[in-house]
Amino acid sequence: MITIVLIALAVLVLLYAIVTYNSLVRLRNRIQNAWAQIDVQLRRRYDLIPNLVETVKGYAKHERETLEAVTEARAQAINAQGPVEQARAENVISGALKSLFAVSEAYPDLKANQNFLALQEELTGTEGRISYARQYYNDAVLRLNTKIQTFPSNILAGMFGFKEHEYFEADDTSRGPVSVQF
Amino acid sequence: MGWAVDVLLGLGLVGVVVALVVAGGGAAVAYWKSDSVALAMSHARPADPGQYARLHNLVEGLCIAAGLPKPRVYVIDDAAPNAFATGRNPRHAAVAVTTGLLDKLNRIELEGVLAHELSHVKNYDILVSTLAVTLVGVVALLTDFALRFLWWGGPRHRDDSSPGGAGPAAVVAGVGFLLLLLTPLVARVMQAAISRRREALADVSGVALTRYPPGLISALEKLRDDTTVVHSSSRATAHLWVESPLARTPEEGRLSRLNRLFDTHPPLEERIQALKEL
Repeated sequence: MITIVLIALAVLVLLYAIVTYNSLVRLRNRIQNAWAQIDVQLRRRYDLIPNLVETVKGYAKHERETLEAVTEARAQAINAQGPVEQARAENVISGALKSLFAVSEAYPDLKANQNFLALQEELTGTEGRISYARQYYNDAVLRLNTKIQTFPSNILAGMFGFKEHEYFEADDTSRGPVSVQF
Repeated sequence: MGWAVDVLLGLGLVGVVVALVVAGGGAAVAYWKSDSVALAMSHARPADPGQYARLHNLVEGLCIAAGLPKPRVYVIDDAAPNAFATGRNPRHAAVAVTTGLLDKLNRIELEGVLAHELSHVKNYDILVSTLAVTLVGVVALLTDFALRFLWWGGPRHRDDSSPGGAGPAAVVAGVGFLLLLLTPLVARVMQAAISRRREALADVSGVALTRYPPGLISALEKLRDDTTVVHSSSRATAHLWVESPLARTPEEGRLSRLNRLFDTHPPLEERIQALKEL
């Protein structure tokens, strides 16, 4: 009788271990995927910016400073080293784009340009996707970190070397929403 | 004479199995075809990615936030602002919005509504409502068979044995008959009740995606103030829409009383209030 109970207990523990281990792996993969997703969206923004600058240049010749700020911010973000520096550079891009779109309000011809409108929509959409990708990443990190810290899943996480991940945090200069304009 | 009862009992069991198979088959068809049927019934057409760039962008963004694959996106030519989601699972999901919704809502509001719809997909609400209706259908068929069995089996049983046997059987048959009459009604009320719960849930999970309750609140307020009725909707698909597409107030149509009794959605005022308390 006692052996049966012990065997049943062992089976239960083993099942729990399998389920927990699998969910830890799943969460770790989700974090990696989410991180890649952020990169995809950032790259998309890099690709859109030169087109936007070209389009605006044709209509708003007097806004050279604003345009240069955008180009400059893009170059810095592409060359940024490490996540912290990159996050800062990306926020500079968001800010530069915001002022570019603000400035373009003064040019009715530009605002009527279909190409410009399409680019504006694409960039706004990309901004949204970037922040959603970050949100998804942070949600995934939260779930994995919670599993790693709480009992009894922390035992398994320790045994198999699952490490806590860092949250993607907006720095102090960009506490507000990242979106360009609605 | 006992063999007659046995045969009837046997038939009864076979009948139950047949009932289950029939109900299961119906449910399977409803489950697998739910999206195309709902889309066809509401005359939805695929949204062109160029023409409806904003719609596609918002859906893509929200899908990233929810970790869902991007559903198919449809547009319905209808002035009434409304939207619905359908599909048996996230891989076979579709979201449809009316042109009225696109015209009347701004970007943030539209995002709130789309988040609500994608939450239906994420929460498997189509599956839930299909299952609910099916289970009620099974109960209905079982009642039907029980009734037939008692109707035909009861009197014969009485002839063979005690004369008093008819009393209880007749009562059971009567109750069964009553239940049978009530089943479609119960099915409707149950579908409505489940739907109302799932709507409230989708509101909250939608806001969990956008992290911005004012977007959906302001969208719901616009839907409340708009009295246009969706033309291409029906009672069968009502539970899918973000706001009930059926006529509600007396000015909107004669059926309003009935609709309120079987409402698939909580009153908009209640939903707005619930979101404001988040």
